[in-house]
Amino acid sequence: MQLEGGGEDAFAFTGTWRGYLPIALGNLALTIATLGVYRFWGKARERRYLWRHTWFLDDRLEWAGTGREMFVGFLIVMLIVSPALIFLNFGFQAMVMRGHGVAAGILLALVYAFLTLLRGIARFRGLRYRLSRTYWHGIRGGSEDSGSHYAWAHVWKTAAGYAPLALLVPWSMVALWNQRWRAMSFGRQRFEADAASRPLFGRYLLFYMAPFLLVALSFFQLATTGGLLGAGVIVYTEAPFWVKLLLFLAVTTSIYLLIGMIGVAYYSAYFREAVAGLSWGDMRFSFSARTDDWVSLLLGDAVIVIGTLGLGFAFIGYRHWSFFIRHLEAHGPVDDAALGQSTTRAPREAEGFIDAFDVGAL
Amino acid sequence: MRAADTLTAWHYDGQSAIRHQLDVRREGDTLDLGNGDRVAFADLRAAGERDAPLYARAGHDGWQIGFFDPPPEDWAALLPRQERFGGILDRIGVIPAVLGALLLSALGVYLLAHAAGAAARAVPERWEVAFGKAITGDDFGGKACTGVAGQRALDQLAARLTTDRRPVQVRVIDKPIVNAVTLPGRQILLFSGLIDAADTPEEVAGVLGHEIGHVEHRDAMSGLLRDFGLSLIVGSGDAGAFAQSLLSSRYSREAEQAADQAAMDSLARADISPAAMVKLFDRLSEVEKRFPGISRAFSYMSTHPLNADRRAMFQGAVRRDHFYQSGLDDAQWVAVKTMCMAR
Repeated sequence: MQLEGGGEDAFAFTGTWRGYLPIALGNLALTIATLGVYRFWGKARERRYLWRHTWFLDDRLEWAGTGREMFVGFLIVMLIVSPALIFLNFGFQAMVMRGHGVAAGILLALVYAFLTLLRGIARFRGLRYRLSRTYWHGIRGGSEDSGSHYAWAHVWKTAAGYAPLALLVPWSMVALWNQRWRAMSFGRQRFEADAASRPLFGRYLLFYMAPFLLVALSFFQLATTGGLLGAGVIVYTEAPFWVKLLLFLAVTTSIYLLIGMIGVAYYSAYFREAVAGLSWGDMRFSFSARTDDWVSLLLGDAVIVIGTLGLGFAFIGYRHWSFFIRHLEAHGPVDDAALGQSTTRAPREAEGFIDAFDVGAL
Repeated sequence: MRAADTLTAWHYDGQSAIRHQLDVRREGDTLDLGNGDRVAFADLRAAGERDAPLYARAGHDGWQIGFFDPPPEDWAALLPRQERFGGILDRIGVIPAVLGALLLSALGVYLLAHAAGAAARAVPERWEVAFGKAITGDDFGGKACTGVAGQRALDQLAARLTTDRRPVQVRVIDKPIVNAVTLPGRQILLFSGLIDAADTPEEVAGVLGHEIGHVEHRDAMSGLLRDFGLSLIVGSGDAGAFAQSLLSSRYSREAEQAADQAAMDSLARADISPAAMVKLFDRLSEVEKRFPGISRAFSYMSTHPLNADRRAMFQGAVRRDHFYQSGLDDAQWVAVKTMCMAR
């Protein structure tokens, strides 16, 4: 049977916050009671609920991952990472104290390179793990690749993106996204990714220039409200008090909001572009969230977490997943008879790397 | 019209994405799927609930079956039970599980805190000294004060206060912080802020006596081991990080009490009045009250909070009508006070 992705309707999220509440509360209570150990099992429960309430075309997704495998993944990561962290915490300081400053610096650089390499593996493995545990019509995804090539590419492309005063960061982000997704498949069908970074440079430059804008704004504020300008220079103005106050509030809040907003504007453009470059057989994808959607998502997060003194944190995963699904669109046909089961090996260790480094798979 | 032992099911075979509709018949303890395939009930695994319960099949990736109508009782008895939370949680219930986990966590942390003390005492002294040296280097990165006469005076004071033949290494660090810390390897650091804040050598002797107590009980090593152990179990969890910061922010109350007791014992042995310690407490808390913002620099008060009990204990240890000796003579005291100027 030929199934057709008709844009907006291809993905749907049918979860409700009332339906999710018992899971959120249960996970929160158990995570606190076990000093955090339960969080892996909590995450698996959360995903089972979210995936099951996510429709793709004519059926729901199924999450087959378990808390135990995520826990084991975490232990493996700790085993690999802790020597590096112990060095960062104790060794570095001890070496500097004993006068081996240069050697300590070289070692520090190596440790950071090692951590960047691991971050690359984490990104790759996290995505591979999620696809391999996601079932739709009894079919799952995965990758034949171990991610080691990708990890080296992650190191050098990240370095190359930052080397020319960080001006090539959009290029490295998009190139890595493409490389990551090209290694992935769902069923026997591979993903294709050909996102372009060129359309992102405008927004990125805006983000890049924002700190300079900030300096200009602070001078403007100083000029109107008066104050101490480093090195003992004092600026006086004659503006009335209410003008000073209003300007102070306006400029201060806009400085903070502006930098954040411009960052979000860049990220939303990046994500839209990246998803638009993605295809799976004859099906193409797109992501409809624009900057204002992202801003309201993040502001909503902040209000919920602050308003509940942190307890609302249990709802963040739910909010982000539903945001992602509601804005994800697919166009084009899928032939379910032709879509065979994935032949990739299901990774045994889980996304411990992802949890340890705190990066999202998508 | 279908027979009573037949149910309509939807089915994914895990080979292709086609959704099959099947009339499934029960034959004893197996299911005949009607497409040439037979499955033993024992091979079915509960796979959660959608509108109706779902079942997976052991060893068959992606295989799924679900019935449109609820299965009759004789089927239900053979079908695996659905898990709600999974594992232990279903057997004992969520609330008992939360309470049980709380109890276990508390027990675990308690055991760890005590095991750390025992483990610290088992670490060979030589290793601890080597480790302490590795942390601090030989001269604390050039931060240690070098006044020779002052150092000699402090060494003599420390020797008077301890009964142990092994020396305690006391160094003054040139930082305007009113505090003192004990590091692994019998090392005590007094910050110059504390020396400046002290009016008499007896006040310094009280603080030193307390820290010598930590040295003799090997509290620095057990604190390190406890933090390390905690970070192993708890990892980087949110609740865990919180618990860890609460636990590792200071030595346990028992360790502090024991160090106080040691301080009073050694002050008595050295014939130095514990009243000076009370004076120092009172003065520091007065300063803190008057300049609340200063508390960061006055960290001694937050790491060694002065409660009524502690004050009363030191006050109670003062012998009336006894003429105590001084901690240092005038020349020594001046040397200590000025030992950071020689840098």
